[in-house]
Amino acid sequence: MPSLLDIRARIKAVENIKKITRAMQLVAAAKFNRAQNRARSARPYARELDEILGVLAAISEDEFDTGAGSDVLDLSFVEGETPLRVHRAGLFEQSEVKRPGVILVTADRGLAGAFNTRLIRAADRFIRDHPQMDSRLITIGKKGNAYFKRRDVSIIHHVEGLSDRLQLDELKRVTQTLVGLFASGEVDGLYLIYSQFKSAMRSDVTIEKFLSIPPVHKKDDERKSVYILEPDREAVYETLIPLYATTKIFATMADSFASEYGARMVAMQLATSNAEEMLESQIILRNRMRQAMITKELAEIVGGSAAQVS
Amino acid sequence: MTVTYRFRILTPSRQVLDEDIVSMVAPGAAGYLGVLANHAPLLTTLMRGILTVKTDQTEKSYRIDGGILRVAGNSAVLLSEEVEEVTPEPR
Repeated sequence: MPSLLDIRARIKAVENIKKITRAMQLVAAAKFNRAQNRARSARPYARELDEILGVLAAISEDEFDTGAGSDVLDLSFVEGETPLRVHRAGLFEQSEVKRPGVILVTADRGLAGAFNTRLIRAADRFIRDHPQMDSRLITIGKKGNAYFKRRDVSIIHHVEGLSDRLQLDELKRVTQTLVGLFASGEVDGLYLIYSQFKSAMRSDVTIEKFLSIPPVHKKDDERKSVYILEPDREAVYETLIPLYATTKIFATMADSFASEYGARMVAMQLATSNAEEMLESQIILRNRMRQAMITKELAEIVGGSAAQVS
Repeated sequence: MTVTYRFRILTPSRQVLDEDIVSMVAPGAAGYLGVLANHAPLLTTLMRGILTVKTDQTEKSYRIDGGILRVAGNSAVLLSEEVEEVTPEPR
């Protein structure tokens, strides 16, 4: 049975925890609003790029068959660095993947409910479900890295501390490294596992193919309208592919941050209301014990005086 | 009445413009190119340079850092990673 002093100490502790979770909730809410806006405004751009890729795929299709698909593209992501050399056909080819690179995007921090756990579990399952493939892991965010470091999975690249302000330069470098793994043949496919943002209460763990580029929705009606390509098809691809890849990573990070802050906001809200509930029950317990003590003392006084009178 | 077409400028972080315009001049890969309404379908890469957009009444300029321009079906979309509005030099 805890003493009255124990209960008082516990009430104090719960009050302090409540203050902390409440503060974290407010911080997450502020960050969430900004991240949500970023995630939303990244979408039209990404959609438009998909569209252009679809158009280009539709008008290139005939030429693919005639072997013209063997263009060599020099993809430049960061100004001043050596471009990556890839075959265009290789970027689109849907052959069987033997050495996939699994890009796991988690948060750098915890205390966001099941946010990190759900992503890690999805990555774990992906690797276990494809035992015939020699999966390698690329981790973005500390939490995923910390989990898989202690396990029998080879992590070929790790990135952490990305800014939630989504700095384009920073993300271009990350994209360059990722595409580089594919271009060099270290992996022959890249998959993204990340949290797709829906709303503060909801985000979906998503597995998406990043490279080779999944079959795009071809705009068949566009094939009839003859596009002028300037300066030529190769150059258009050389501009488009880096934009596409960078945007994919940009949008993924935007979604991930918005989901993370949303999850943290909800988790901390829950923690705060749990603390409140606990506080209430402890206060009732404290009052009851105090009353019991007073009653006991009164009874003793009454009992003592009664003994003296008789 | 002047003939107009829909023009949108998008960056990864925002929509810069969505308006009916009369004409634009963009820094294309093979030199500056002008686009009026009912232009033939076009897909072109862009260089770093100044983009000028004319509507019925106004004229706006933007500094763009390369990108891609698609013109089709009497509308145009410009995608660039960095777009910044600039005040045109007084003539």
